[in-house]
Amino acid sequence: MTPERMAALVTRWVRFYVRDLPTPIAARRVHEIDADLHDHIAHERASGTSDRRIGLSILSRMVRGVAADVSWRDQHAKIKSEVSVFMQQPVTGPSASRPRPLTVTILAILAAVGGIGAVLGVLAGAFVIHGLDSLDATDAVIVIPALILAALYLAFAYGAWTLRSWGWTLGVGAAASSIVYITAILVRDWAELMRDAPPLAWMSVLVAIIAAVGLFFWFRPDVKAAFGRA
Amino acid sequence: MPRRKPGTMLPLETEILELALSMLRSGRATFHGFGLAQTMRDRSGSRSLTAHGTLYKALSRLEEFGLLTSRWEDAAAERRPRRRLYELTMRGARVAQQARAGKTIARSPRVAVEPA
Repeated sequence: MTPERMAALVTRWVRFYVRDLPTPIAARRVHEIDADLHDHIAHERASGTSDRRIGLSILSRMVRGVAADVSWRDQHAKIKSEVSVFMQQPVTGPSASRPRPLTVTILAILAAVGGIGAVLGVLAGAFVIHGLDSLDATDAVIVIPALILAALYLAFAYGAWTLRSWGWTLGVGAAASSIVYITAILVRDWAELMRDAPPLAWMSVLVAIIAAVGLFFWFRPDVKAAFGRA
Repeated sequence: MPRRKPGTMLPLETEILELALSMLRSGRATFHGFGLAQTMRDRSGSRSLTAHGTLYKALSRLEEFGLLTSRWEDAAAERRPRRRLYELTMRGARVAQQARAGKTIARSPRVAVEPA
């Protein structure tokens, strides 16, 4: 963990949270943090601090400041949105007038990756338990909804990323369906899963919990507002 | 970070203003982010520096309130990135003096929290 590597990580985080903010605001924050990181490393090295300790200190400053970073970003994104509406700029898409809150971005990525992963995992579990050759009509009850859910998640990821108004409905629907679906699978195959693939069983429980937490976030006012549903 | 009540400043913001006033009185009119974090660490005896997000958000707010101004330093010396230099405004110095005199910013004029 070299200080330079940690500094690069901080820079990547800064570039991530200033993305699509007005260029002067974004550039100022990036350059200011760059100068800070440079001064930090130079000062600590001159004081004889070990590289490991410097790296940890940089990482600690980044992690402790994440909440403030997100709040600062939301504040500037809101201002940008208000200015955009005031100036009556041509709107080329929903995201042109409404900034995407970081929460939505994270939920979209988590839902897309985690959701599809979980569905594929459950499918894999079904094959592990029943074997590819012995799949019968009852397994279609698992396979078909899983494929529908995967498609739902992909469509939802796109809708959330571009802040389509239907993205919110799909997000809520996908999260609720996942909870119902995973619960049904677990009730049906819990014993077999625990015998043949315990990690898969616990992962499914975890995914259901994540979906429930996600459901809570979908009803937050800022998330609803981002989809034009405030 | 504690939630802000309307009409008040956060302790970190007050601390920054007081430090800026001290530096001004000792002949250092301008300061930069890392230097400030370092001074705050030394003064408080803490082992850790103020987080990036917390520090620069506070500086940004103080600038919005018209209590600080900032500019990029003219040229990057010693082959390092240019620093953003902050300076206390007259208004900022007044608020810092009030804070130092023991008045809480909550009771001080609303000037402290209204964007310039």
